[in-house]
Amino acid sequence: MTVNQLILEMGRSGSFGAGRLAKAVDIYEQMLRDDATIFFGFSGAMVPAGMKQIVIEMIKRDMVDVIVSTGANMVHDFVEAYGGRHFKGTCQTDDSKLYSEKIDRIYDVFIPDQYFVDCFDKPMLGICQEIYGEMMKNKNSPRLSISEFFKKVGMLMKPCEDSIIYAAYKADKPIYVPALNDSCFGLLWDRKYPSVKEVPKIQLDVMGDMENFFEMFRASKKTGALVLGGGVPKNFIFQAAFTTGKKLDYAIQITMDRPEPGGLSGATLEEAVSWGKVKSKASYVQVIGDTTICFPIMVAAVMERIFEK
Amino acid sequence: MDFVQQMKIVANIQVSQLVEAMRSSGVLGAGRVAKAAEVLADLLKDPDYTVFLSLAGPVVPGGLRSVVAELIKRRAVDAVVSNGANITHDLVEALGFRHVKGNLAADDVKLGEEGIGRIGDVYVEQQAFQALEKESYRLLDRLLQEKTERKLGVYEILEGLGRLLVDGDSLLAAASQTGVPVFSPGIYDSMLGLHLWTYGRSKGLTVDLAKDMDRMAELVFNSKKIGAVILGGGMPKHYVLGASMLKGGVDAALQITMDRPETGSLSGATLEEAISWRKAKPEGSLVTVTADFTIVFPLLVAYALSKLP
Repeated sequence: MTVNQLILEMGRSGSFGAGRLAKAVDIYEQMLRDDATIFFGFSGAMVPAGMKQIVIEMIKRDMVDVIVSTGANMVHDFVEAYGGRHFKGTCQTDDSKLYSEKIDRIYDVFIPDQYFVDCFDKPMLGICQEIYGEMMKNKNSPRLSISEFFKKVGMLMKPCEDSIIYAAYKADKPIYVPALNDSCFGLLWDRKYPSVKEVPKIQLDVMGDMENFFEMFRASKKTGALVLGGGVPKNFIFQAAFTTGKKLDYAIQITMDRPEPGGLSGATLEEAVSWGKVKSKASYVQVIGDTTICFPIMVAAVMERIFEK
Repeated sequence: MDFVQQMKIVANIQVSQLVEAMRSSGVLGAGRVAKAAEVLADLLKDPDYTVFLSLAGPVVPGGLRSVVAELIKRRAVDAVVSNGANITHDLVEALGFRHVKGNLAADDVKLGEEGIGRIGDVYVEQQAFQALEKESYRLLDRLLQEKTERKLGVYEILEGLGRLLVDGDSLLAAASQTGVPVFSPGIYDSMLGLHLWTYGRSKGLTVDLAKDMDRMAELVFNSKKIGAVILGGGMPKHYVLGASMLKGGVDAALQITMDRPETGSLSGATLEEAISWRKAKPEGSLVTVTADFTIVFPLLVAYALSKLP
């Protein structure tokens, strides 16, 4: 049985999680066939969970147009590009012991502290310095937006088949990280931090991306959002749909979060209709599930529909 | 320690390849799905296992009726323990009524007026339960013609009902044909149970739950190894794990639930918790997948069946 055959069976039942996941596959397929601009919200521990290559494949196959990510996913992507690894650990563990052994835990994933120093801080500080030097040489201003920054990181990092940042640079797809400072990137600006001798001299302009991000919405024939988790990336995409009047024609969200506390991550997509972020007649579905389970199934089924026949 | 491999998804893959990709990452929800798939495959392959399938939550309305019936027909499971609702809904479908794709955000007052009952995004006509009353009386009459005893275990009643059904997709019919006992300790807590109660009071049929315990104990004592496949939690989960305590606990078990462990209720309890109660062996293969079983169970079954000779 192929994955798409399984999804078609789920669609025949059409109820509960199975029905929602099958609908998500249908909507993603429609989004691609309809040539919608696809905004990809990428939050949660997706790179540590092993989702990186799936995203790279989606970028290469033109299954996403714009990436909006947490800082953390880009940090972990870069760490792996520079030789760091995430390890299969356990959730039943002595966290005090892990602390003394300098191992950080993301549920059942372990990552040694040292990787953040060797595979992030050091090479990233070097790249920041290179960017600074180049900018001062060319236009005498060290100021750039976050998406410009990621383009330059992609250009200057070591060529790597194994990185979202590099794949996006090669495919000319922008990466937006609205809360970049809420990650190891931000920590590079702590001059007292042991692995930071000199903070980067580049100036990242937090508002620098807003105009071009809105412009991408305005220029879109149709708009689609594919959101893993929720958080800042979900809001960043949705608020642009609202302010530009380009309400989403398509929306898919996979989350385990609940709507009752009122937080955006768990908010239903119907709620987004009331805000004018999602068209009331849009094709949308929220899959209540673990992204690490549902996302690979969805992508495998969509690829089977689009690329094999 | 193994590192997390980034999953590779390409177009046109089999479900078993997708599960292998999940195993290569091996962490978080995907890792647990891969582990559960392996446990299920082992349970189906190894003839030493006596396998209990525990059904709580809307398994039949969720479209998994044929999946369960298929496992029974292949004698992949040795006993089924279900809530009353799934037996009820199995009979409802056997009567020709259907579960209809509805809407989670429905107007329930209106549905009530129209005589439609809602289960999440599934609708079922209340008329079905009136028809069920008539039909269950007719079937029980026929059953009593065959039996001299008037005190029957639930499994005996369900075996008798299953034998009278003509429906290739019915799990009850499949169970009667293959001699797989179906237990339902909370049968009275269902529509079928209500009919059974009124019927029993007027025609002198009583349910003897001790007979069910005898049969459960027999299965447990005659087993070489005990396996449990648990959808949802509830009383069926407790019944299976409780009976397995008679022989030191289950040797292998998988559970798929969205419930959480923090509130202390059994449905959300991890299978590790069962070790402390001697309901699961410490060296057992135990995996709890936190997911919607309408998504994950078909995936696991497709994988496990592909591994059978």
